[in-house]
Amino acid sequence: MSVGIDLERLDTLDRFDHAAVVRAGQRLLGVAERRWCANQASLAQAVIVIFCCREAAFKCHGNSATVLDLALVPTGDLSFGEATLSAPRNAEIAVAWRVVDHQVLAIAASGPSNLPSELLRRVSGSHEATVF
Amino acid sequence: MPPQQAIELRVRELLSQVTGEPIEVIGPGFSQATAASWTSLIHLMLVSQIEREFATTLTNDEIRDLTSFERIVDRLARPG
Repeated sequence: MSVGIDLERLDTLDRFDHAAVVRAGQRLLGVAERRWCANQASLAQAVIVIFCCREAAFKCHGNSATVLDLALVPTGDLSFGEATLSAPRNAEIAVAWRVVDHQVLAIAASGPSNLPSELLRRVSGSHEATVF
Repeated sequence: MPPQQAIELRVRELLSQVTGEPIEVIGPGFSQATAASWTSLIHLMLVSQIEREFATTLTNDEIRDLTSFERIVDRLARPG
């Protein structure tokens, strides 16, 4: 089993204009990711969530050339969700994300598909218990 | 201004805009390893800005390798 974790601030792209975020999205996003981002309230935050999940998956995967080589099929919203890798890697790794304190935390893991959500629930649950 | 100098100046401006670092600190030696503000996500923004400004398309391998001021300038000084 392998695990990858990433954390990104949700305000990271606030200083960029919308056109720059659109261009970055066009450069980064796959078909399912674009569809998901289009349905979110903030494109900038949606791109950050996808990037965070890809980073986690990339760290978990270990042998992808770059984070750009991966693509996800996400479900959920900006605050919480899950994703699998697009085919042909869809059986390898699952990802779950959650927004905590204006940051998105993503955990990717190989093995049972519910493992990232369970790890995330434990991590963010203990975080909430400690901080709030 | 010679083309190489023009490229260096524009790369300085772009790196300053994207990382938020003062333009005075950007030059040889400025890299993803030395600038905490040059995160992976900011690198994506940088790549999309470079591709637009210089009307070029970078391969994923190039994107992975363009991690310093010098490497970016060298790549943009080459045709293609």
